[in-house]
Amino acid sequence: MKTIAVIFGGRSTEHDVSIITAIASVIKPLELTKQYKVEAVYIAKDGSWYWDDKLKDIKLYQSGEIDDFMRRAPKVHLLFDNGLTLVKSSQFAGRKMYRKIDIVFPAMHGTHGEDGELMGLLEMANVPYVGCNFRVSAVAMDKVLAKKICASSDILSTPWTWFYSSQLSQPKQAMTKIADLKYPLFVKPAHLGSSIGISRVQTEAELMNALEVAAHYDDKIIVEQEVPNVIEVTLPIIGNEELIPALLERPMTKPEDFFDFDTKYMQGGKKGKGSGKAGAQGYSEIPAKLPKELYDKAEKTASAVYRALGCSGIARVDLLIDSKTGEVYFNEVNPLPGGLYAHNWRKAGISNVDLVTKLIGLAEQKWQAKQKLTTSFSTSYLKQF
Amino acid sequence: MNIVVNGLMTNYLKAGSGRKVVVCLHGWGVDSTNFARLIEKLQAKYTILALDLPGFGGSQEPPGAWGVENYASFVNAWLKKIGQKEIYALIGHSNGGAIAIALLGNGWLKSSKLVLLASGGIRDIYKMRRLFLKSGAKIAKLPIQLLPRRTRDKVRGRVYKTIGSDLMLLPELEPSYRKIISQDLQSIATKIRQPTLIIYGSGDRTTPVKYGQLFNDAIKGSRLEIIPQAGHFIHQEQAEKVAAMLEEFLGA
Repeated sequence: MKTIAVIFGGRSTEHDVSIITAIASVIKPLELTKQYKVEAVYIAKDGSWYWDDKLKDIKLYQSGEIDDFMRRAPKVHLLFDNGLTLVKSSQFAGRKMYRKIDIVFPAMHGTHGEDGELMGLLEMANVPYVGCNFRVSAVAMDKVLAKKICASSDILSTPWTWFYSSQLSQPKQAMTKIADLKYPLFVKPAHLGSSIGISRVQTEAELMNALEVAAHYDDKIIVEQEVPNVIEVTLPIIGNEELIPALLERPMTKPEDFFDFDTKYMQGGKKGKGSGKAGAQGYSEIPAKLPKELYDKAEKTASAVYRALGCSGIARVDLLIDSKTGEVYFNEVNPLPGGLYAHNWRKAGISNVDLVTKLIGLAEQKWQAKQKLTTSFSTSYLKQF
Repeated sequence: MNIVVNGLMTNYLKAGSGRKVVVCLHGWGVDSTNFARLIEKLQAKYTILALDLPGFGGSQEPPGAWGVENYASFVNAWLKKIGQKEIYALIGHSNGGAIAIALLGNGWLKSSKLVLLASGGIRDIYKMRRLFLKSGAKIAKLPIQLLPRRTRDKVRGRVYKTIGSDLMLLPELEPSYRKIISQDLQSIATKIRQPTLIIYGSGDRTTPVKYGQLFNDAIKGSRLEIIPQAGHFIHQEQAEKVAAMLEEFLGA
């Protein structure tokens, strides 16, 4: 029986989302297969690593008992032995517990995890892992680099520009870069995954404040022109060479709603109002009701993005469609979508159990292909020295 | 919406589109959403601005122990930053009321009207009771120190809650809380010249009606309204009544 380590939590604003992804969408289905031994590895907000079966219970986190647990539990050591072994004190007679890991399933979102940092570590350990490799993850989580790569593959983005936060000390330069764009604009930190630090601005007066907000979170800022008549869609895709798309999904909130007082604070308390909305992220249309031609175009664009960036395993591609012109624009890529987007896969006919099994298979396939590459060879340099 | 004010990430909301701008300041341990029910009722007539004060809701914690004045000057800096010059009315609940008093009493902010909802800022009465509780806390501290940390925090939290103190509500803001509750604002309140509406709930234990009477005495031309059977969060418990009083006081 193969041992899979599911790593989650982490030093990220999406720490809590990651716990839910790991427990509900990865650990539970993996255990249901009865084919794998699953080890839960939790990274606390302070960056400490823990490994314990108790960490598989969501109640531990909900009740706050996790703080007690962390005070008592031993932290994890990682052993790199041309592979990865978890080591911790057994808390009995100075003995240690070892667990050799066959495959790692990273279930982390945002900074210090989804952005390639964890994958770099796993790459060093030479252990197979699920999802995009460290290079792709790093590029995907940098909105500037991702857009540049897409542009070089002739994938459209809405007009945009970027600069370093440090350049804000000379606002004139930054402003000339932005001058070519048409309002309304979106100002975003280049690396953050969730909606944190994002502002929509309609006037130049609002712009400077929005730039300052983005600079508070990131050293790189991206400014994008809003797509008119926009339809937002997202498509989860799995695969290495052969791609399997899920269904095109349309979140039923408009971008301007995102900042709207009503949507943010009032809708939750007024469910019976019959407006069809349920909170900021609650409701989406799967599959998105689009004309066949447009649906296919969006699906094709998403696959093109997946390939252009070199994604493997799983990723979710966000697109923006101008419903009047039918133009499809690339927005961003999430190398590890929250909850793996299991709700969407289910509708596409792939159960959560199938999904994680497929992802494990893809991880092994990718790792085996990598083993065939030559990375070291014997030389006589040392003897000649 | 987010904005950086004096280096702190600050979350605020803007609702409605009326000509008259009303600024809401929330109390300790809650955030701008605490005004949601009130805003819902008032947004048809007024433009409403409400921020999360530093350390609450979506706003960053203050860099040190902040008193009422620090919070007041922060509110001022925020309004300046968002370019809001004309303010028709200032509404402060609980600790937000104390901040509003500091803003207007010191003449730091110009506003035509003031509304105090179950406002804090009276610290000098019940001196004996406080002294008694304080010495009690000092004595009880010793045995409690022996308990494991989690149990200790739980016990402290429960004790302070029972005596009606918000000290342990947000442990990370404890220094600020201690500073704030040592400041009495009655003398500053006497300098307020704006028409002021003061509303208290008759069943309020945190800021009793007595506070309202003291502020009513201190502020010239103020009016005190007492809502029967309402607690500290009057604007949530009795949103319709409070909104009606506000509309009548603020005019169209």
